[in-house]
Amino acid sequence: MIGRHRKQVLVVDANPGDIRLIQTILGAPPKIPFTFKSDGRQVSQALDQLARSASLPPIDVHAVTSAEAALEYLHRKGDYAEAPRPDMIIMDLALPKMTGLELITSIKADKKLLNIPVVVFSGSDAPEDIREAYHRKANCYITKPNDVDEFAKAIKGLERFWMAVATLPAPSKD
Amino acid sequence: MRPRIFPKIVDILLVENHSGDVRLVEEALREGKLLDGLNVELAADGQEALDFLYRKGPFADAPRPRLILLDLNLPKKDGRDILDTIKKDVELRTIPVLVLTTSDSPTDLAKAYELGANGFVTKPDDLDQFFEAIKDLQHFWFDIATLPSENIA
Repeated sequence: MIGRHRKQVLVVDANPGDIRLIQTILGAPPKIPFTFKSDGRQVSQALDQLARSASLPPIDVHAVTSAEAALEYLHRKGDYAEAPRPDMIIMDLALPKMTGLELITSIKADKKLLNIPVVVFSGSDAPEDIREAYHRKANCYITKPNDVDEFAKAIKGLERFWMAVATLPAPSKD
Repeated sequence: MRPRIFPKIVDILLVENHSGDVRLVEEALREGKLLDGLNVELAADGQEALDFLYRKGPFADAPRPRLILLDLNLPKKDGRDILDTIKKDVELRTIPVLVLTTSDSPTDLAKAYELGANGFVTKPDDLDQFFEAIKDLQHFWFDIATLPSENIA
């Protein structure tokens, strides 16, 4: 539903490879198989997929590798003076100094930031981490798959739900 | 009132008073292939939702739902109050609450996220889009996201 203007996503992940993957997958068009048999159903499925992806807004992905940098970004300090406010934050928990859990708390305690959806995308599947993230008001928790296809599926599903099904809060006029 | 019997696991507590919408959500969930196993329980107004969550009266044996789909405009107790109550309760706040409403008002949207809604979904008017939205929601929250695993006490 909603506006087609570009969405801004901030990725907080200490692993540059993961950042790269997320950047490549988010907002990428779906792969349409070229090997159609003349099977009407397959064609219509592919068209359906294309139409569905056309309903997704274009996304700009911004990335930082630490919680400290994420806070600088969100408060537009230093290099980030002109940074656009993210419509959503995708963050890992394993970050170098300040932890991901601490970052969630500090975002959700800030009146100006608390309504930005925070999606935890973490290598940890420890029940304490999951519970603690939700407790600190993360909007959702995804266990980062190791397998690259599963990783892509998770990002695509995330994109589908948050960018096409859910309505994100309107950007504040700050 | 006799206590109700509940399945061991309730995947979704649907808090919705329009029986037409209840029907649509249930149908859409059933259509999503992976969905056969999802247990959905219904609370038909705000008070019932709270009784379910706090295991009062006929809900004494109700398990903790894994996810809540919450309409905003409910009889007896408003959806916003319920959201506020859940998110201020140390025990309940880890349950993801998705607002599912006909409202597309920016005020409702802002307020819901402020109160701690995990997501906000405006019900599409178009039937096909409604089905797609519920299926995408279900796929994301039950196949991709990890829900907190509470010990079902």
